[in-house]
Amino acid sequence: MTIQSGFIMPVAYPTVPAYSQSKRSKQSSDRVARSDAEATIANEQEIRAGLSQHLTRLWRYAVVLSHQRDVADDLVQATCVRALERANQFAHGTRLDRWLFSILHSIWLNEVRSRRVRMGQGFVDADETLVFDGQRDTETHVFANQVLRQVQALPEAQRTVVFLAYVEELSYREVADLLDIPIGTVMSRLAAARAKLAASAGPGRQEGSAQ
Amino acid sequence: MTDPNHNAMTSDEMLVAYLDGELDADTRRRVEGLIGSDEAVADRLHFLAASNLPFKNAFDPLLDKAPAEKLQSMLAGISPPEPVRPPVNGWNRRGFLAAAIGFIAVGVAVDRTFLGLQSGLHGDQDGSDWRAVVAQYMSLYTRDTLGTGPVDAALQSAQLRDVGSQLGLALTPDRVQLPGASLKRAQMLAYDGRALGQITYLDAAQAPLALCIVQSSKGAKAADAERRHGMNVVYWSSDTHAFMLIGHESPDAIKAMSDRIRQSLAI
Repeated sequence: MTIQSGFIMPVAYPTVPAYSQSKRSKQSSDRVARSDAEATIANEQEIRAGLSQHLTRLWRYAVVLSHQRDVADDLVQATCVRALERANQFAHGTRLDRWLFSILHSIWLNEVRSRRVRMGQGFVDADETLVFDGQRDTETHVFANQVLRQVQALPEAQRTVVFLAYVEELSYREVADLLDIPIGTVMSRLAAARAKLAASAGPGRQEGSAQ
Repeated sequence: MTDPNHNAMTSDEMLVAYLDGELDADTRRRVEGLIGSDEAVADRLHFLAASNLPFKNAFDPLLDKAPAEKLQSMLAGISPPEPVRPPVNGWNRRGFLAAAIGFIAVGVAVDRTFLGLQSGLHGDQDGSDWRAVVAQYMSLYTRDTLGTGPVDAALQSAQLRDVGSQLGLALTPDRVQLPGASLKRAQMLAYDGRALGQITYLDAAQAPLALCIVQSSKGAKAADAERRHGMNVVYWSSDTHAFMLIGHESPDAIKAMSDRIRQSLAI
């Protein structure tokens, strides 16, 4: 099964991060903030509607990042407040859900995670918060739970790209833009995550190297 | 194998990008060629392909786990951001500071203002913190925020029932009706992780008015009055809840309405 993404991008060598940088700066220049007051009000309503539509997806991403439901609640709330405050920075014609995801991610990275680390609270194990209670133990569900746990057990940097690329089905380029990292970094994180997942998915196989 | 980029072309990164359909046609052909000619590369691809897992299926149930209603009411409770408000009507932080200075000038005791600011900075020590937050919220409300259209009585009853059940109070339109004011809606907000019920009205002058309730175990307290963000507040507590009524009407009118609420809720 091949996981298809939105479009086929040109060759992207992991060793040439400059490629993604140039693409990104071109994109970001499109995101010119509008200052017109009427547009701001229209935007605020549009953002509010978009938030309402994507709340559960944002929450799911927040759970993937934080491993904790209550932190996810707070993270989504902070994302809503921030998005509404910055409604006039949203560029029309771009994907609103991607913009919201990137706001949530930057709040997580810059505010929530660092604060929690400083407070020394640490993080709970993936199993503690993500067990699908009340779900029937059919074979499918057991397998789904197993996949979920394996992804959640990956280091944060890896599970984030796996989630965005394979669950949210973003292209590599979109993942790179959302996380504000070079596309080569997306590729190397996915490769490392895939090698780990493959090793546990096929217990009979030995992890070798092609190089 | 003569390809100078052999290592780069057969790296895990490239093979995973191949599996993900992220390579352009030319690179894809080159990688395919190497897979066909180099058994080690083919084996590695086979190994990596074992990680083609049903990720979407695994994570989709999490969407149903999301507290959708709670998130929606949280979103509904976020007032329009300050920059959007016309400066004439809106009370932004600068406005709040100006008001604080104004209060001092008209003779509000300095120590009281100071205490108020302190509790804002150092947490909810005397129970006034939530009132400060509610007041700031309410200062952003206009008549339009609450809607000027006809009200749906059945919807209001349902909203009140829901808010009441979350707070542990029996709330009905009759019990929260205020003389001269029209009930607009009831919704749940959150303050510091605690449920905060907000019942909004338009007063006789069509200005926003709200009864807010949080669960509180700080003990019963008789009604007291204060002024926040240019509005009049009457607040009191029962053994189980803290209440505040906030609006633009005169202190006496707000006090009279709060008496009516205390009576009808028997608190």
